[in-house]
Amino acid sequence: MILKQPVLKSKQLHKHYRMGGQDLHILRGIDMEVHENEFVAIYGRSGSGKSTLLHLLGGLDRPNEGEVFFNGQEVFKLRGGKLDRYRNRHVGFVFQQYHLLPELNALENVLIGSMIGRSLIAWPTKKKQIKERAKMLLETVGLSDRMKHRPSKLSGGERQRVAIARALINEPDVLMADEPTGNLDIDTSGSIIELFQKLHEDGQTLILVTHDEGIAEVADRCLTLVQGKLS
Amino acid sequence: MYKVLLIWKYLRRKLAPMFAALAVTMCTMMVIIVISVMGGFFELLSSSAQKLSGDVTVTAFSLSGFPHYQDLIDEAEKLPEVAAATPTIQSYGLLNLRRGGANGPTGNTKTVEVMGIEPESYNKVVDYEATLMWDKGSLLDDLNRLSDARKKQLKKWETEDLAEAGSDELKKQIKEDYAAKLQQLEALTEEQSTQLSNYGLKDMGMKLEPTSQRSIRAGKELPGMVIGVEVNPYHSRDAEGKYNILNAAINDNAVLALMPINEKGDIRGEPANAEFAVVNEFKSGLYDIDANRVYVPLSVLQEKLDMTAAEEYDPETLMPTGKGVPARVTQVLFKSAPGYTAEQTAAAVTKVVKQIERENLGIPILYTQTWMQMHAHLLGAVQNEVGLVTFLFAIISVVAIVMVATTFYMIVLEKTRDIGVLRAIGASRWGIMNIYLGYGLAVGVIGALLGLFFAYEIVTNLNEIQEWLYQWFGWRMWDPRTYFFDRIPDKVDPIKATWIVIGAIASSVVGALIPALLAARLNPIEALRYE
Ligand SMILES: Nc1ncnc2c1ncn2[C@@H]1O[C@H](COP(=O)(O)OP(=O)(O)O)[C@@H](O)[C@H]1O
Ligand SMILES: [Mg+2]
Repeated sequence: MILKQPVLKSKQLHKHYRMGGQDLHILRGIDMEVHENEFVAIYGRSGSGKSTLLHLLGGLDRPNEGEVFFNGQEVFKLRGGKLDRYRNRHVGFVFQQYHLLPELNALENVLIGSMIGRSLIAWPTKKKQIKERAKMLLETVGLSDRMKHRPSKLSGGERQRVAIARALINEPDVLMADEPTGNLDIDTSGSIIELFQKLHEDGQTLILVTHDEGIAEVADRCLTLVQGKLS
Repeated sequence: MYKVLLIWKYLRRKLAPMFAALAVTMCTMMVIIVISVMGGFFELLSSSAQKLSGDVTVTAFSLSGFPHYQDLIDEAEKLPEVAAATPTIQSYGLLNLRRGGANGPTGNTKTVEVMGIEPESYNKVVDYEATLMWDKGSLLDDLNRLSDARKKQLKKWETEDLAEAGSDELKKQIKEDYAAKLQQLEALTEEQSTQLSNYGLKDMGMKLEPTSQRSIRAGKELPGMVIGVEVNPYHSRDAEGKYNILNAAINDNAVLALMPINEKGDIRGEPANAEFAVVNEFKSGLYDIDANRVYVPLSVLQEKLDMTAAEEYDPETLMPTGKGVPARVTQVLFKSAPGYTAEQTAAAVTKVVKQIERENLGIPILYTQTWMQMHAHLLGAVQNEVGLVTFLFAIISVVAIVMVATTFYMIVLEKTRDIGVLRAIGASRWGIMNIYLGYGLAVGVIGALLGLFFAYEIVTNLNEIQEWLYQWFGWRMWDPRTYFFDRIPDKVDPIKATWIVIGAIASSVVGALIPALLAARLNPIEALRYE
């Protein structure tokens, strides 16, 4: 049997924060691998550094030491626009606070991820096709009748569904969710988790960060972040 | 693509950028208005100056003038650069204007600049005929207008008097009185009209000879004089800057006291008096000229100022010695041929002047000047003013840049989290910067075009606006009595306006630049954490 290369892999990731002359060593050598079609949960108490780790994996922040490999490619060696492109094309982010753009309606919020990285000239040629996909995604997350609504007119759960659709628009290799149910009530949380499970069943690679043990259990594999290390 | 979408959305949803746009609008508007009005004023002034002095002048800077001017003219007219030339004498004198002929009741004396001209050639070099104020038509029109006004006044008085009158008899009396007055007025108007229609006013101005009965009535043929409208002491302009025809000095008797200066530059002779009949008035548009200058025939002035040619006779043989003095003038004006600039013409004329100087030793030093050099003090002052005001407004425009910068800084602060989100989903720093630069550009374009629109509306309607302000508040921003010209310049120069609009848009982009750079430099993680 040929061992498949992991989609995402981290090697001895270290992250320090300086605060008021104090050195906070948040991540102390993280080694982890995520394989295709895997659903990995990262569990840890609040403040343990889960978000920090996810940001590093997603190329949003830089580590003080260590490297992240995406399909064997060193992410932090990417120059110029390539790192932006990595975030845009290969990773999809879902945040606890949804982070939708208030001026755009649901459909536009989903589309914008696809517009980024496409020039004014390139966009019109793909527009129709991408719009179809965005509508399809919104249907998948159960929002087919909310497409023209702006975020302020949507409930928390609905906003998070829009955010998920946005994260999926460019068919990312890895979907990263940072406590996606942190701001939601139990019922809504449940339905969002179901959505993740469904995506996973359809083959989506997923990393889900949570401080809720119950949620962590639905994953294929659960890593626990304690004292800056995974166990 | 997302940039365009976001700029569009931000423009539609935000009040803040509208303030920035408003600042751009105001600055664009101010600068365009000031440049249009002041620039227009300068252009009016310089075109009047050019029309008044021809393109090139050759002057002896002594009132005693210079001889051989006819040689100069003849030679110069052979040049391809010169279209026409005319000799003039510029002198000074005391002018005594008398209403109602030589023995009229009131006289008024003032100092004037006396220009001796040959109207026909003078008119070829400068705008002379066009500056003559009165022609038959304008006189008759004004006469009828005034006569109508008087009729109305009479009618009004009549009704007032009738209302007060007690008995029917008295009423009848009043009616008869007024009917008589009205008839008298009509007769007068009639007489004046016929008189006027006999005058070829323009012709008289052009010939500088009166055809009127008055000079004949005075028992002698008087030479004609054309005076500046503001020289006439009886004129006063109404609020619109119009002159009252009945106060025109036409046919008034004018006496000039002149100081002859001999060819050696001495003023030891007796003052000379000369009598003229005013045949027209002129209005060049330049107040200084209109308030000081009078035109008289060159030959008359030469004679009075001892500037005519004189033969010297041998006292014994009574034969000419051949050492006589030639006629003199103080300046010769030239008009450039089409296609030649004043500078080119001046250069060509200078050569002729040098030649004349070589051929006639002892001729006074002659100066060749272009019209711009001639009027440098006036034009320079106004141009400086235009420059200064433009500079001041450019500084004010910096305020617009600062306004845009602060507004955009606020917007970037407000949008920090969204910037983080955009970075998280793959937008580059460059892309973020372009959103805000593009936003600044859009605000600039909107602001500048609005500014252009308002400025255009205001400038082209300035005179109407002024009229309106005057009617409602009794305030006049542009007093025709102080600004040389009747109308506020009301043209927008499209090229200058385009530059100002481009400048305003550029300012707006510059104002957005620092906030855009700040936005681009934001750390996406910190931006996402931003509350
Ligand atoms: N920019 C920062 N500067 C200083 N400390 C930070 C910064 N970001 C995070 N931290 C600290 O790092 C720790 C981990 O944060 P985070 O990764 O957000 O934890 P979690 O997501 O597990 O709750 C926390 O103690 C937090 O206060
Ligand atoms: Mg967190």
